Amino acid sequence: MNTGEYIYGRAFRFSSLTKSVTRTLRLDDDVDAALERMAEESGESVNAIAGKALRRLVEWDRLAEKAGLVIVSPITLGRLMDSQTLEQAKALGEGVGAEVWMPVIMSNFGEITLTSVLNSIELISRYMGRFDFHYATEGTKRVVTVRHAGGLKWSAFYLGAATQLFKEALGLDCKPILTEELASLEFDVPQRAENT
Amino acid sequence: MKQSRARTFRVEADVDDDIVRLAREDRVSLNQLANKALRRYVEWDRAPTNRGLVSVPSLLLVKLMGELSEARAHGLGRWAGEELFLPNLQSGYPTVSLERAEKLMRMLGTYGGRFTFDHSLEGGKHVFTVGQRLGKNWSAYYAGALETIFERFLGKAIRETVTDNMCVVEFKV
Repeated sequence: MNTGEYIYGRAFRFSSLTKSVTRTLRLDDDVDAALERMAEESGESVNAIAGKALRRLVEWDRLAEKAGLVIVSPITLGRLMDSQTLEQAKALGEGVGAEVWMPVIMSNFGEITLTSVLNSIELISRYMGRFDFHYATEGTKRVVTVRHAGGLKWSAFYLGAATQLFKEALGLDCKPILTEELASLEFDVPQRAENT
Repeated sequence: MKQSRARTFRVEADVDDDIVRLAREDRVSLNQLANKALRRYVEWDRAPTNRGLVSVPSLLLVKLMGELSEARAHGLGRWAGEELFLPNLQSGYPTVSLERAEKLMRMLGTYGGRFTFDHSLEGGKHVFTVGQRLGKNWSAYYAGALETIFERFLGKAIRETVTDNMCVVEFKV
C-alpha cells in the first residue's frame, strides 16, 4: 500500500516550496512584548511564531468560524458522549458531517470533490487535534482512516461524519471499518477522478 | 491610545497574499488584522489555560446537551466547576480568588466562542452574566459551574436565574 501519495490543494503549501516576502507591521506594544516573551521561552524566533499565527489565521480561523467551532473540555465532551448509544453517536456524526462540514467545505473550497474533502479533513485534524488522519492509495483503491483515543462511540461518530462526506456527498461506494481507536472507509476511485 | 512599534517579518508569500486579501475583504487594515491574529495566538492558542481543551462544532454540543434533563445539565456543570474549572483556578496559586475566577471566565468567553461573560456591581451585589446560544441546558450547566465556584469555594450565598440564552448569578458584596 502506498502511503506516501498525498494531495496538493489549497490547504497544502509546504514552506519549502513557498517563497517568502518581507512585511513590516505595526504591532501593539503588549502583543510585541508577548511575542518576545514566547520566543524566549520556546526557543523559536519571533518570526517563526508570527509565521505560525498568520498561517493559522488564513488556513484555519475562517474555516473554524464558519463551522461554529467552540472550545470545550474533552472530559465534559466525553461525559456527554457517554450518554449516547453507538447508533446515536453515529447519527450525531452524520448530522455534523451534513450540517457543518459539507457547507463549510463548499464555502471554503467552492466545491465538494475528493480533493477538497481530503484537504478539509487534513486541516480539521491538524488544527482541532482530536484525531490523526491518514490517506492511503493502491491503484484505484483508497483508504481514509481517522485514528483517535476516544473509544468506540467516537469511532462511530467519526464514521458517521466520514460516511456523509464520502458516501452521501461524493457518491462513493464505501466499506466501513470500526474499532475502539479508528474509523476507516475503503473505496475505489478511478484515477482520473482524484481531482474531481 | 495604544503604543505600538514597527516590526519587519519574513512571511511566506502565500500567507502574505492571503492576509492582504482577508484585510481587504474585512475592510480593516493589515496591521489591525495581524494584531488581532497575533494577540489571539499568544494570549490563547498557545496559552496554558487552553492546554487540553478541544474545539468542536457548536451543533454537536447543542445536540449532546439537548438530550439531558435540565437538572442533569446543572449537575454536570457543578461537576465541571469542581473537577475542571477549580483546578485551573488553583493551578500555581494558594487560594481561589474572585479576581482570578473572573479573569479565567473572561478569557474563556473571549476566545472559547461558547459564551459571553459580564460582571457588574449593582446595588451592593456582584452580578455575573453568562450569555450563550446553545440552548437552556447550557445555561443550567454554567449556573452549576458558577454555583460550585462561588458557593462552595468562595463561601457566597448565591441566587441564580437560568433562561434559554443566559444564566445570571448574584451574591451580596
